[in-house]
Amino acid sequence: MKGIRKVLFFFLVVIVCAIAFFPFYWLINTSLIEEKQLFQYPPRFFPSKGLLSSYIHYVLSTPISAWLRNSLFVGGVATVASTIFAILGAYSISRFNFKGRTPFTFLILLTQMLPAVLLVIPVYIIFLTLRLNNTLAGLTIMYTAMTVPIGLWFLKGFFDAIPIELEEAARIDGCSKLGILLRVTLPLCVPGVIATATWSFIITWDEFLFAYTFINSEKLWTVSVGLSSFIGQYSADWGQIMSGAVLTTLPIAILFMFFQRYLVSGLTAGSVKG
Amino acid sequence: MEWRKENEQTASHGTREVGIKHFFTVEEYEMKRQFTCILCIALMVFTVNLFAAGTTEKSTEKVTIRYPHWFFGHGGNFEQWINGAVDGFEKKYPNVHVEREQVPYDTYWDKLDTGLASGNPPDVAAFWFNLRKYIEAGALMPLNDLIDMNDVNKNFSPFQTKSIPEAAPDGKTYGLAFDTGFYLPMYRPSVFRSAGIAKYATNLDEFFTQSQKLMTKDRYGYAFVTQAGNWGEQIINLSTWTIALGGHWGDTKGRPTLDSKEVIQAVTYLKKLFDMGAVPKDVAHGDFRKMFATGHVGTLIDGVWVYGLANGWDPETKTDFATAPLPFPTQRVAGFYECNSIFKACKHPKEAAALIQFISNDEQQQKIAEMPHFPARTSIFTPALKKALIERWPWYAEYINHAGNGVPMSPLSMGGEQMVETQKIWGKYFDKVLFENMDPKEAMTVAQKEAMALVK
Amino acid sequence: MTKLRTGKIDISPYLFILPSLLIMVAFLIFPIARALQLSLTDTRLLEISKAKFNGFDNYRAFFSDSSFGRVVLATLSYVVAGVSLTYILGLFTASIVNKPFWGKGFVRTILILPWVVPSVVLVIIWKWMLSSRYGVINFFLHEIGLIPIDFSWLSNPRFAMCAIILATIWKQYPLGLLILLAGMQSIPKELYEAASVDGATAFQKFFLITIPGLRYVTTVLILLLTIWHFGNFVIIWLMTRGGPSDITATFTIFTYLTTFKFHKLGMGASIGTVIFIISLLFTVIYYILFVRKLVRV
Repeated sequence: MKGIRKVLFFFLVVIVCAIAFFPFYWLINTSLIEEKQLFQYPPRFFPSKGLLSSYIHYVLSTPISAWLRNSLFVGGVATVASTIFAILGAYSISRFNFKGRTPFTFLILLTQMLPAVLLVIPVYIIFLTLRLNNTLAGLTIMYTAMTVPIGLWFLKGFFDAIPIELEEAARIDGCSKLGILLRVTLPLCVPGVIATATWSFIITWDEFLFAYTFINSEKLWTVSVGLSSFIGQYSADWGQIMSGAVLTTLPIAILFMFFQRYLVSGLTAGSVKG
Repeated sequence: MEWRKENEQTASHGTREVGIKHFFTVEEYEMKRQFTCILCIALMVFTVNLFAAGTTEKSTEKVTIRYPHWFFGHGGNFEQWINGAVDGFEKKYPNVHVEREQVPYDTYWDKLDTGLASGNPPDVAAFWFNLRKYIEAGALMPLNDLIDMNDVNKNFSPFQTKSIPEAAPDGKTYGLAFDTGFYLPMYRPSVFRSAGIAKYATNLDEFFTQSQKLMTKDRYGYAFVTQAGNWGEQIINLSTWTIALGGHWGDTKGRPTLDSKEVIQAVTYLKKLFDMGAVPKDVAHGDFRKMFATGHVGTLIDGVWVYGLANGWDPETKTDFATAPLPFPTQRVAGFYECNSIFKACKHPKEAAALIQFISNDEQQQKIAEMPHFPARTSIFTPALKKALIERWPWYAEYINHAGNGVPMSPLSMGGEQMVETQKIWGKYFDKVLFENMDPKEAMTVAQKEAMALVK
Repeated sequence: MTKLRTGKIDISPYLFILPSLLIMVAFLIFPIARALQLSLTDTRLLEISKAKFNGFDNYRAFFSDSSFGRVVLATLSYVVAGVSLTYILGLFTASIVNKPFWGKGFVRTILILPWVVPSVVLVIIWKWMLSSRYGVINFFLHEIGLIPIDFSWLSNPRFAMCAIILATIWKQYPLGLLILLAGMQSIPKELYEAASVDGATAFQKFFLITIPGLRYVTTVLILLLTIWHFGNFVIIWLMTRGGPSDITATFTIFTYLTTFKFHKLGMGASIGTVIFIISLLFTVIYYILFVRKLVRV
């Protein structure tokens, strides 16, 4: 009996994985099919073009390398900045009792619920006053603001999970608060920090509305905006669009492969409360 | 390092089930901290640099004109033409530098709006029927004293001489057209031959038969925008049909006429084609223009630019392309202009005016015709030029025929924002007809009611 | 959970939260306040300086719009269906991954991968797969006789929202998987062992041990998902722009249309404010139920 159950389970796993993975397969497949063969019924299930001719051609003929650089820069800087801010802030909420702590915690939750559509125009006007419109710096700042609340929320959970007793020894030794954070708490929390940073980066890579509204110059676009520019009244090159989609997804997928175990273990440590 | 060891002990007896590991020794941590400090400083430096980079201003005596246009990134002939035109202008006026901003067509006016809303408009930009909206907002400056109005009135298409002043409440000219467009039936003779169609339909009954004949497993008979929610593009097809049927969707007083006979007819006919299965679903212009070029749609009612687009998708269309008169009760062709306008906030109106006049001068307008595209300066169509163009592109003749009598696709005296909302209402109820099988007459009556509520 | 005692007035806690607080106030709170203010005026995008206060007119106009019913229904169906289906799928896949088997890590990676797909890419893939004539989904469904040829999902009033939800849950279920898996792994194994000794079936173990044990993470997950679904704009906009005829127009879509297409900033802000207030309600409920408890302990 056990053997049959095992086999059934195996099949279940395969089917579920296949369904989850199918859109990826279809994306890659479509990007490797000749334009003409895309508009046929039944659809083609196997590639007809070489990897080189599709992707290399796409990279060379579109500004995607600039777009990838932009997304990397904006996402990277925003992630680092917001993680640093969040570490500091979350430590404070987790360890200290100060007036305004409760409102601040409430604020963190609140800011996570602000719809982007509502924020766009007021922020655009602010950016204009600060001469940040159409700059990657402005977008970076906005992304930092966007990811700080969730970073605070996650990291507070991770810090809460570390017993305060571990810090007592350092405190007795006369270590400063920042020192305790950096020497004692943070090293114990590295998976959590990596998980938070990964999460933030993924969000910035995915973001569309702000990037679309704040950046006008084509060479400053992020990958999301750049990709969306290929769909419109005067272009319908689906093969090319799919190639762009593959190149847009690949970096984040690779990054994710490397860091996903941190996300998993981080969420395990952080979401679970006693 | 007593306290460190103590921590290790405590950690290993900890109650957490998660494996807490010590990742770094203290020395490694110092290094990491220093590295982080340096990283932070580097980031700040980087950011400040970018800050500065994002706010470059040309600090020489050169005059800078900011000119966003979708042509700059359109690729092919369009990009070539506009870059050529601006190059020529800069050569003639070496002290003027044109900052060419490329913005895709579909987001062009969105970008303009956010720029304008935040007090940061460009100097020159392109408009079409949305011109009125910007005039009403007080964003543009009248050109009557800046450009040669004699030349304009004598040599330009009625879209320039009549429609553009009509778009302004004060009757002034707020834009100088650089091209015009007409929507005419087009087809590939090879496709028609293989479907056994000898001649293009001359009336609507024949058009329906023709669409039926063109339908095969791999091909549709006709195409219009069937992408749900895309009323912005749907309006083009709806107006084309309404105008060709002899009507319009707005009157001369700026009121909508969505419940007029012709509008209801247009909606009914398009619904009929949809129900026949003659048109592809979920498509917008980009998709069906490509399908037409690759032989998957039999005919379109579209503009000159499709020729260039089609060549890119299937080179056969270079010679396998033809146009025909409208298969409608009237020969009223829907058309539009695209014009360059100068923003009120522009600090160098004289130079801006020189730019837009250069773009619309004889030489540049002739280059437009040779793209092929359709110019706004119709006086360039000398008999010699006409002959040359028709020899090269026989189908171009049909467009030339309508050079002087296109009907503006949008009601010119309808307020700018009211027009957009009216379009959405029309699109919403057209979608109801198409996808929820609402009766066309009923739908248009309700639509008219909603649209009238917008009229002040 | 004990806290460090900070006897005298000690500003260091405030210094720690200062960078976060500054950036949040400047770029999140202040703009929202401005938007709230805008919602009480008749501001138009191109003539901001000519704005006049008009009280709750914008809100009234929104509530009496002919598509208001559709907007509410679209939002509700998107949120309810999206959240519940994502949860169920997440629970299902978490159960699978929770069991030990060879290749589990690999399977887990594959199953979580959809989450990192950028929204723009997501829409491109799914729109293509759902294409009426050339899409692979219709190909399969038509070959097994379920649908006619040329079936359009995105322009069908009954299936447009389904299509959007389908694409959404494909992207979001990994979140459920991750969080529920974390929850499952924290349930003490002894409970299961004891239940086995008592002769419990797999079903009983699942419903009497696993589900109750997941109570906390379920709440976290449901809240996260609800907020996300409520505020989602990009996926719906790029797939259907709220069509056909506003059937898939959620609050966010309507806000965007009103602000950026019709240029009625005031009214757009009022719709956005409605979203915000509803989110606020959720925050308050969540805070009272869960965060407060933890802070006090």
